[in-house]
Amino acid sequence: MRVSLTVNGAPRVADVWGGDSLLTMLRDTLELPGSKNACEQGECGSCSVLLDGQLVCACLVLAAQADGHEVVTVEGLANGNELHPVQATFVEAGAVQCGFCTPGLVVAVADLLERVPDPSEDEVREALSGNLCRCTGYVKIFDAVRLAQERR
Amino acid sequence: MSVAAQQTRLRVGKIGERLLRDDAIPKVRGEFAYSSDLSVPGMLWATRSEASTRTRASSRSTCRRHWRSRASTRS
Repeated sequence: MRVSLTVNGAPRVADVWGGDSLLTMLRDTLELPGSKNACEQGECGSCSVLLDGQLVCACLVLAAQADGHEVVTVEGLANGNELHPVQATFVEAGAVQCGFCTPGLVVAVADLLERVPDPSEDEVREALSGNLCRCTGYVKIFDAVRLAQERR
Repeated sequence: MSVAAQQTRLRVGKIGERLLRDDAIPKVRGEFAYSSDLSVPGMLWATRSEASTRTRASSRSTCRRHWRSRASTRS
């Protein structure tokens, strides 16, 4: 089936199988491998993208459900060479180690700060509870969020 | 890289000092290619099925057909 959607601001068309997830379409058909495929069951958050501005796990959304809608992936956050503020603070705070969870976390934090400009510690933890990281122990990730929050 | 450039790059830091990782920027941009992001024409994929320990190697298209048939029989 054919799916037409907007990805990172550009109109895209993809021919997919009806059972393909949005993640499969993004990674394999549209060649945007920034969103990571890890658990494929909505537990790890590595595939987090914005669907019409709402944070979703791309592995739990069917490609067909995105037809006519707008998707923003981690590749769409930076403005050319200029990093999104959240991307910049992740780099500065050392919040990136193996980096496999990073795309999902960056999208989730960008979404959080868009909705809640000045989140409490609890709100940050709640917002990122769906993104698993096995390397950092989250401390530097929270540092990065705090830094991005202060700079807003 | 010249020795002088290497010395500049490998300057001595302090414990607790934040250093920029070379791979951090491509990773936050989603541009860092992990092995699962690599694809070349005719590349074989191997998966280990849950039911047996036999390793299955296949091309991507065969692999996806396999997954589809499994998905359709899932209750």
